Amino acid sequence: MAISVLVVDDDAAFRALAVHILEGMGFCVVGEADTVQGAAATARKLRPQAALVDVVLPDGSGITLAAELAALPWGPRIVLTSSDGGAVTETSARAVGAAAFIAKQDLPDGRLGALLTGRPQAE
Amino acid sequence: MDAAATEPAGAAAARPDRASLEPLARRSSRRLLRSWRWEWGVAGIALAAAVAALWITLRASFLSYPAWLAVQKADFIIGPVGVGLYWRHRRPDNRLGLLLIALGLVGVVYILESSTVPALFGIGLQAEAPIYVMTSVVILAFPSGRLDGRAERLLITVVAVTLLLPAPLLALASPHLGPYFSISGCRASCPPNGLAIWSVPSWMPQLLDVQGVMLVVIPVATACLIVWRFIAGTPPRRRAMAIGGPIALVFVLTQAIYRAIFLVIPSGLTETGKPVQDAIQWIFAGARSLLWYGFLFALIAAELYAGGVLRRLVRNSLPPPALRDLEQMLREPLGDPSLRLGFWRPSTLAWTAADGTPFVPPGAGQALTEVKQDGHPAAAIVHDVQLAEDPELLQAAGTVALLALENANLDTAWKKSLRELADSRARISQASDLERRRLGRDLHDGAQQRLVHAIVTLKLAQSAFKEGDGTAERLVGEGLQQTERGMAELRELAHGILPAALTHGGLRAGVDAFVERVDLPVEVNLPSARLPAEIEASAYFMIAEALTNVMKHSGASHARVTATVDDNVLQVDVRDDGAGGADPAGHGLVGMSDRVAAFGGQLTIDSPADRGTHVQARFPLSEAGALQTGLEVGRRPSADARDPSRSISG
Repeated sequence: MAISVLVVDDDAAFRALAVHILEGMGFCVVGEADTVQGAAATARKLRPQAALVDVVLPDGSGITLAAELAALPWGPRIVLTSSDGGAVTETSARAVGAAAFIAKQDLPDGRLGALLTGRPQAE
Repeated sequence: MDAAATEPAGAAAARPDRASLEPLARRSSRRLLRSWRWEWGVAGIALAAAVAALWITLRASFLSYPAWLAVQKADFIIGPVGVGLYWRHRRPDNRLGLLLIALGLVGVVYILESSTVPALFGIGLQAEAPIYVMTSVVILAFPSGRLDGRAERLLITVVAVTLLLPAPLLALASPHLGPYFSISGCRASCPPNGLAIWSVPSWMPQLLDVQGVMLVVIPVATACLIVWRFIAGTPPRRRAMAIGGPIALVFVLTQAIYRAIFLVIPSGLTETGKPVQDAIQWIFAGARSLLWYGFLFALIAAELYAGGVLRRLVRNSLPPPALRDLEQMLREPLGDPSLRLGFWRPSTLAWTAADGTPFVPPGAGQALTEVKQDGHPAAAIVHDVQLAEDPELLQAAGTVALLALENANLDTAWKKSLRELADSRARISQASDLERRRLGRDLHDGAQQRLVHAIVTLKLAQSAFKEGDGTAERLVGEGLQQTERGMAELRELAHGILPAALTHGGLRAGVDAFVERVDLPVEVNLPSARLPAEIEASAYFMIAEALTNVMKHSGASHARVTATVDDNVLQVDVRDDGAGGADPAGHGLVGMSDRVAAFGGQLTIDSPADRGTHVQARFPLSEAGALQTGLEVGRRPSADARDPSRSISG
């Protein structure tokens, strides 16, 4: 059963790339959002099981969005990302309820799958 | 000075225009020239007359003491005229100068008493009475130049009546009129009085007796008056009389004694008394001749005293006193506890007191003296009326007041400059902080995103090669595109920080490159010579910012950039034909002004509404200009900081 994922990033080209990568990994991208408000609304509507959230969003911080999404009743797994490799530390990511942080340039490396599902992905 | 000294209370003028002091050096040269012509004439006459007196008197063999008398007669002319001229020069408002000059000129007629021609001798004799009267006037008018009190005026009236009234009668009636003055006596007999045309009236001896008594009473009264004037006098008058008074006193007392002797013993003392009589006679004659020199010394002493006071005041002015403390500082040396200062404020066109409250006009017994600077009233001293007799002292006080005022103004100006400098620096560092943040954001949002995207794409491409379909090619192409876009963004960014064209090619190359990339037609006319790097950068950014403003706000169709290097100054002008009306206090232009000022330059903006905008920056190109930026905050540029080896001696 494919896990549903919501992709949140204000760069459309990058969203396309992320979708490509996630679908290649076997995830099902159910929705995309480019703002904090949009993401919150879409998440409530589509109820994804996981979400990939860019830290820098035009109308707010991705970190606060992550906290908001992680608190939703069905407890989706939130993975924060940024083009800045060291933007968020693991500890601070977990502190807001996210599962982890991954640098954008490391997205194709495979670790993403494990983070979103919560268990090591079979290659 | 006379009128000002008795100004009544309540004469509240908005602009008091009483006697004014100007620093000596600034007396108008025209006024000086006018009086000098007149005065040179008088001096010339006096000199000629003195020579004539010497010549005629030395040859008058009928005289007892021709040599001494010659000197005395010459001195009678030159002495008063010389001292009178100097007095007039130093205290032009004081009439004593004129009185002395008049006395000297009467002395000219006195020369004729040395003539053997009876008619001339008779005329010469007539000079004695006026000289006597004038001498008394001068003695009683010293130092103020006028007869202040009723007693003085009464005494002079008595003198005039005693001597001047009978004089014509005596002249016309006595064939053998002897000179009154002591050493002008004749050896054997004097020439006959050529003016005597009537016969001697019967009451002549009684008249002469009365006159003889008066001639003792008058000097005694004069002596008493001199002493009383000293005792009851104000400090300035006492200071003057202490030096000018004693000779006059000696003269008057010896005259009284001499006359008294001859009144009691008509033929004079004999044997044992003769030497005493002679001594008195010579002291009497000597004192008369030295009379005016006493006045001269009094004048010089007043100036020296004022000089000493000024020295002390100036020394107490280091460090410079506040205007408030200045009043206190001046009261003691001037001896006037009620002294007040007023300062003219050009900003409010009104006089204010030292502590900022409105100025109170002089009260009863006070006078006001204006202190001018460059011909305009700057300060005013409200002082006791008596001080008007000591103009040198008032001048010293006025000078010090001006110094303090100048200091206060400099202080305010300096503090204001310092505040402006601090504000400007704060704005600059704020601006550079903002710049840095903007840079960081631009980097992050632009080039960094592109390159990350490129990396991800190429990584995917790596895996896609295994698949074999066209995915790999597509991904590689995408990666390349993103890398190229990233490169372009970085180039843009670098250009925004410091364009390559500017560093390599100079100001003209930099501006040309900028103009190429913008939409607006710009005419560029810049010198191709290289300038110091920081000036080129500062000028470039000023031009770039100005042109950006033109494009953003003015709606202009055309702009022109010119620059000239002239006399070690780089002047840059940016003109446009747009809407004008730029606000020089607006944030952007203030920032531009700050940045230009940071390099010692100056920005001027001329932007009349609807007539386009003209922005001009002037940068100094010399060492000094560059050094200006190193002005240290918190240290006052003062003389002793520059030259500690120069000490101020007392």
